[in-house]
Amino acid sequence: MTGRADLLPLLAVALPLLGAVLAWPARRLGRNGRFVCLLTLAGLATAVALALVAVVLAGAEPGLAVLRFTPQATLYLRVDALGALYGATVSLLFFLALCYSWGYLRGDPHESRYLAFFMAAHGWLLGVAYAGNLLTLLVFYELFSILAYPLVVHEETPAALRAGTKYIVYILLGGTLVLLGVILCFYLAGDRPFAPGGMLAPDADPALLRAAFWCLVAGFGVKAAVMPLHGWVPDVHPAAPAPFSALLSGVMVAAGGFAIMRVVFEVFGAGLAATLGVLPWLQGLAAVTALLAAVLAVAEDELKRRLAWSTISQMAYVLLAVALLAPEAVAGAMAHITHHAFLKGGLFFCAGLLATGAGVRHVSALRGMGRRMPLTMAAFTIAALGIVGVPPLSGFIGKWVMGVGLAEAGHPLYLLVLLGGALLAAMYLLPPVWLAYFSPAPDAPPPRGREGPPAMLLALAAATALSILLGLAAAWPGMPLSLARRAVAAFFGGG
Amino acid sequence: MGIDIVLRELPLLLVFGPMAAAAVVPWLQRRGPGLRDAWVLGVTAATLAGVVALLLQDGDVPAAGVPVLLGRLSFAADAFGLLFALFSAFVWFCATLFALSYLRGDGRAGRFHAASLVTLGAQLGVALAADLVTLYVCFETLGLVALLLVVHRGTAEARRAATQYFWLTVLGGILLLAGIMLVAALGGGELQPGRLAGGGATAATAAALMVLGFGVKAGMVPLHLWLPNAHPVAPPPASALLSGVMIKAGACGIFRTLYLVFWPAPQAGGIGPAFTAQLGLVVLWLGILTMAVGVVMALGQRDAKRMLAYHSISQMGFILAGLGAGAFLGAEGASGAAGGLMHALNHALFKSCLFLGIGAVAWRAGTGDMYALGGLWRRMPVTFVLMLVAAAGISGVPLFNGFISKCLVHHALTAAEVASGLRSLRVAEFVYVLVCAGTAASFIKLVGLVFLGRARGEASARAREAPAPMLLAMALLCLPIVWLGLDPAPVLGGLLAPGLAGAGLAVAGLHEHVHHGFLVAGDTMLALAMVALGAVICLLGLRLGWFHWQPPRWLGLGWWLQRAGLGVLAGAPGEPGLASGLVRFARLYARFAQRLAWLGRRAGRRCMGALRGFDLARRGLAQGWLAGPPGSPGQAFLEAAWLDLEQERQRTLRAAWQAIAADCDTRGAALAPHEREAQLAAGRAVAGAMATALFEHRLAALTAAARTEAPGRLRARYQELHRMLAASRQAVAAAAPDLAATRRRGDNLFRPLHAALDPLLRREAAVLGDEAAHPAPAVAAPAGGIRGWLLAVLRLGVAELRQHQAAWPRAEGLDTDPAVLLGRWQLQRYARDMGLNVGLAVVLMAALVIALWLAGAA
Repeated sequence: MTGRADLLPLLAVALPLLGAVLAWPARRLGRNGRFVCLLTLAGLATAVALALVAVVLAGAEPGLAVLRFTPQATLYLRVDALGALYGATVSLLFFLALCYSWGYLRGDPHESRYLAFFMAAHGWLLGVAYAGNLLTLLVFYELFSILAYPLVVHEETPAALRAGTKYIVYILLGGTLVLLGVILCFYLAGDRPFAPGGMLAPDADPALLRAAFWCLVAGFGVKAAVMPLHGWVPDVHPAAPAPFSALLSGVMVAAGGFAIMRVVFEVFGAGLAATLGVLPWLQGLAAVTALLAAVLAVAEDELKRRLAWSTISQMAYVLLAVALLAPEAVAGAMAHITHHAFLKGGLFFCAGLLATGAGVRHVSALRGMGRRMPLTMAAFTIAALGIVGVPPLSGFIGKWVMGVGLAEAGHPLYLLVLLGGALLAAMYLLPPVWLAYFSPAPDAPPPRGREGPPAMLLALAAATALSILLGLAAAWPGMPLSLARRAVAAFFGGG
Repeated sequence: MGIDIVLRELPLLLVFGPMAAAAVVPWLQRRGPGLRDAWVLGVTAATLAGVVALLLQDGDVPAAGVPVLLGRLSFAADAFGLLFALFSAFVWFCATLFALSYLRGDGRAGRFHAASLVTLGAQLGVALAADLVTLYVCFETLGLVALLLVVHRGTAEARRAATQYFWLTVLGGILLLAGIMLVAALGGGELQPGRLAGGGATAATAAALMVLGFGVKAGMVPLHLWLPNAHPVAPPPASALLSGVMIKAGACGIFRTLYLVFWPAPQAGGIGPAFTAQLGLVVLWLGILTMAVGVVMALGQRDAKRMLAYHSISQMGFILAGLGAGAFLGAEGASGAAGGLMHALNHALFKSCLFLGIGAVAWRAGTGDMYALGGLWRRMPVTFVLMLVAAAGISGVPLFNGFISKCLVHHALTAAEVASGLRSLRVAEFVYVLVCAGTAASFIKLVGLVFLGRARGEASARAREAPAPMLLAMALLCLPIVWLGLDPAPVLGGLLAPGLAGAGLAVAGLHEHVHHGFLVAGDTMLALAMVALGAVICLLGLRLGWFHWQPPRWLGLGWWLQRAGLGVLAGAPGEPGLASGLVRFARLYARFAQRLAWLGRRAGRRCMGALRGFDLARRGLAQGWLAGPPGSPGQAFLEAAWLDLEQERQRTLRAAWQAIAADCDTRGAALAPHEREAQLAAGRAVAGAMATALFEHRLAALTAAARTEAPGRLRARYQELHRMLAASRQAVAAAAPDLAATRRRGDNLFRPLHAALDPLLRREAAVLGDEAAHPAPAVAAPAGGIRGWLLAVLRLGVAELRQHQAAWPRAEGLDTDPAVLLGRWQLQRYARDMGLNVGLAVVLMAALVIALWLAGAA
């Protein structure tokens, strides 16, 4: 029975794809006209994603079988709490990044190409969020990963092309592993949709189950930047244009974490996953990644690379919580994905503004920037404090819930990882703030720099405001934490 | 009605009101500093009024909350919170009054006042917090925003001190967060007693983390390193706030930890459970250590502000010792708890007054070095009197407030020693007494050196009395110092005793002490004796130069921290520290990763190389199977040479033909069409004959040479020959038209042909017998493997089929691609070999048949 709400996921996926198709013909509307048109479509998609959040909170679970390839393989969209949360995050960040691109891409010769692939990426990633079975997840995931290549090499400098090559190699490797895992799952269980308690029968051949688990976790782990599969992230982020870097860090690396959550909770189920013996490895790798990536971030001078390492470290917390199978910690991790998206997105927006407005790409060049670009540095300070976990910003929420969850589930030693990472985050994010505001002024006071086009500032302000709002209102119904708790209740209690 | 609502939400207003007021300051700044000053003073006064209103309210104030963050940030006003809030607001008001005239004309005063208001709100939040998350949020805000107060002056020294303060605050905040997370996981997040009194490893870890986290702010040894650097470097009103009030936030936190989080439920009664007592004992010893270290370091200081900062550390030790003794004694610990809390109040009053006074002196005289001042009692009399009162308070002189709280703590220490029988507590008490004497000594030294005696330098000559607002601020602070010394009942009996009774402590002794015995002979004598001892220490020290003794470097925690690379925590950044250690590690890791990648690439290349070798072997095998064994190297050379010579034959053919055709064209008008045809036909024959003749001769000569020569030398000769081929070709092309004409005429071609060719052949033959050393040419190897060979054969077939369609000489060598030529040659050889094989097989089979027939016949 297809209700009206069931069409919403399809609508959400289709609207940005329509925008992708229209991106090139719409250049006849002029630059601003085209942006307004695409922003409208992206805004509509965001509205649909938010409406789906409301629908899910009301208790429904809209789902729709979109396409039947063969009697055994269906493309199936379904929205549950986790999918609604991730989809809303993706949509909002894409909308903000599109607004930012309006100002960033001024004078860019390949704007049409960028916008077409940008909107398409929006659609594919919403498809990933709303995927209802492994095949759909695979299809949208691969489409998104591979078709993000033009966005990565947008600037076509030698560094960008090298980074793009590295990206494609890693993504294809991951994609192959994922495909292998999906094939094994199909062999084990056929074309079944995701179920909160796992869709695979626990009495299947344990060797095959373990192989499928490894393949899926390793394949998605390439995107989620678990060490040692993280190599693409620090090279791709500086090479990509700033709005897309924000998306890479905010939602794309998180797509890997999201997919791993689906695999652990809805393909295998928490109970089965705990018996397969893969999770201790993932715990160790995630803990090492969280700390080692943070240490490497301290040593980076290039700002975007530093932020890229920070993303690797933060997303490793998500994987740590999932690998430990601690319910409250997993809820904190899901909320952390959303909060981190806007915090890190804001930081990358600042980095882009600094690069275009003042030509500053390195932390050591930030001296005195607090006076030259006060708005940008104010937003940077707020976002930096948010990632370190200073209350009442949103970063604190995820950290607190994860910490209490880890202690409650009987893993208090992992608090060392969590808080060690927080200390290292202070070490790599707060010195730039100090340099910008409190370092001794040079002999000649620097001229007041251009702050940047209003579109970019507006996107930055919106991201900052969202970070503050998500922190203050964290426990309200409809906020990420409540959705996350609903999802966790389904994963651990149901099925 | 409205009043009721306001009173109910008053805690919220008190916390968030000043923060909201701070947001207005930058806007007011633009209207004029006077307006801004009035606003700031008004807000602090209103806050003080609000706290007093809360205090005067009878009955319990229900918890008020804001539904933000993780549920609710809730604030409640219990007796202890109100005590902290009261003195915080009061000192803040006085310090702001002082700051209005001190910061007149300072460009950054706006930032100072805004930060000051936000920290006021945060401080009240810490005091009035009703659950751990709220406490943490307000505590962190306090710590981080106070950075702006420390770094106010912007000098290099201020920045260094602020960096040290910042990192220690961050570290403390993280430790505190860890402790609070553990406590919340154990179920004690709501600051209700009784949940965690049982103990256990997790509870002990949580308690340790919380004490350390709050201890950083409270200036507890060994986390006190930031205090002596940060307090002097801030402007005096900020120092007063930092020393007087903000470190009490740490003390408040430790108080809540001991008496709420890890405290048994009030109904339990008797001495507390072992865990709480142990925790109290640890805090007691930390307090003793802190007070001793503080006073020893203070005595050795020159700069008055640094000395006062070290005394803050020492006095915090008093507070911690009192709180610890109280927790150790459990239900009997009212004197310890009351002593510690009252000392917090007292210290806020006299320390802020001292900082303000010394700030006024330093401002007027230009220096804070005690040894460079003197005789200021004449020039700054009011300041002198007020400082004297504050010094008497901190030294514990009877009739001033310090005496009361120090006596209470002393009583608690003796009671603890009696109740537990631990000998070490006797040592603790002895240290306590000595520290009291040392404190008295230090302040006698301060007052004596700065105010009494003769003026020792021109700094004193410069000094004038401080302006009236500063004096008023200090006087306001001195009033309670005297009043509480004479009548401590309102605080002890009216505020603290009911609160402590509510927590389950026995307060009867406290009441008695307040109403009957606080000026009892034993205590007073002891106090006066300590002051006298202090005076003796001071005089002896000044006379004998004890205070100039520098302790060895290794006794300082800062030195060890610098050795460990954590120099930034010791106030000496810029040296190799943790951050640069991490950078070094990261570079090592990057080098390791690069090495790994290089090894991987090398391994990949080796693999590819192995694969290629395998492929070559396979190709060789296949080719050998298809095309017969390659034979000796000499044989291979001859094959390659054959290819080369065949190509040369084609080229010679084409060159001759072109020459003939060109000749025909030049003479074209003179010739009739049939003559032309004949000429061209003759030319065809001539060109073919010449090219083929050359080819045959060369091949024969080469084959003959190959039988006798070594392959290397042969190669060299062949290279020499190769270079002459072009010249031969041209010579042939030049001779061709004439020969064609000769042929057309029907004359004998033999002689002219050989006349043309012989010189060339002789020359080439000479070369092939020559000694020439040149590098050998690259032998054309068939490329493409089996597939290439098959394609070549295919092309050969196509070329043969098109042969009859094409014009001569193209038809003769339709496809001169070396692969095709070689393929043709290989096919021929294969056919020959096969033919031989087949012949051999036939012969053998015939032999077999004959043998069988013979055998069958036999």
